[in-house]
Amino acid sequence: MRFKVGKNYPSSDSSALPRKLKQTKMLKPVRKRFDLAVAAANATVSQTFELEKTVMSIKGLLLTSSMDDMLYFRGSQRIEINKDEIFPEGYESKLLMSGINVSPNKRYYDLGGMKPGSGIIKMDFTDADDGRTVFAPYRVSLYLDCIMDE
Amino acid sequence: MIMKERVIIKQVSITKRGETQYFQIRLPRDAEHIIGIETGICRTGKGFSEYVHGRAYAAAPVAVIAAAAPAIKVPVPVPGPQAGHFPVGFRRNILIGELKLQSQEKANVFFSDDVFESDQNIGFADYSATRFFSPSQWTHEFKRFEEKVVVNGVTTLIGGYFKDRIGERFKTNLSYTVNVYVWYEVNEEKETKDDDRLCP
Repeated sequence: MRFKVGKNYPSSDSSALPRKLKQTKMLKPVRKRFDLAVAAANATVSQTFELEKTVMSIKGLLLTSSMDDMLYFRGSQRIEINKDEIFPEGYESKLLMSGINVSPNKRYYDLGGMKPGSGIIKMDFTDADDGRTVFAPYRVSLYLDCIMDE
Repeated sequence: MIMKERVIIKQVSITKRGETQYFQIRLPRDAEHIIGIETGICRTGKGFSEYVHGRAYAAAPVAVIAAAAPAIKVPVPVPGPQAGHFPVGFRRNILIGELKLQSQEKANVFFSDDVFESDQNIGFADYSATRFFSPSQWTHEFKRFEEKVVVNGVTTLIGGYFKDRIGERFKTNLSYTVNVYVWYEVNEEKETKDDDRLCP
């Protein structure tokens, strides 16, 4: 059967494209990083971050640090996205970390493409001594795997 | 139907050798199903690392350190693999305790597990280890996942039992906290409907 060029699908004139095609968005995966500094031992640090308005969905989340052993042994946090509590207070940081044995494409904790809403992310990080590490100031990085509208 | 995953945390504190703790976890009203259980250990006592690592690794010079500085209470460092060491020897994981969870409904005892702190064989057959870099939990650990369970969420309370084993093994009081994470599912559409009913 031959393809017919009809009124709705003119091959040359792009301005006459159907509405559905015009509305197709260009989506781009982006990784966002937010840092939080832990300067004192056995303390809670709270910080709020904001995503761009163009972020359409959040696919995943990952925690890393400038001193991974500190984060692994001492850290726990509460994470809230758009006022929706994703991880409650006391959720251990080690459960959200991935080692180098994990493929880079699979390191993020799956959030299932949640909508960012207001795009405000709140993180309350708690440092607690467990006897295995000697405290030194360190940085906690929160990585978000997002889909952005270009 | 849009289902959303949520988690609740129960912290169980252990301070004595062979201690048994019974606890209850209150499940929210909107929980449809319990879908997974995860555990984590947080040490709270200074003596923990000395006992566990000092005795688990025969090569660790714990006695030498203790004799040289008996008054100084410092955590003994975990010995890393030595240069030229052939990393294919298995080491037994250290059992921390036993956990059991029970639903008040039909499922009854739906979860029973041995709780370990970490994988002692994380560096097995890893030849990247040097004097300055040794595979450890925070560099080589795989992504963690919860233990999947499928239990109806109609129960109001989950009964829990934790028995300390590591204190018994080393014949000393070791203090630590066991975090029990209960993952459950919530029906979001139902939540919205309920809200509409309350505030027309």
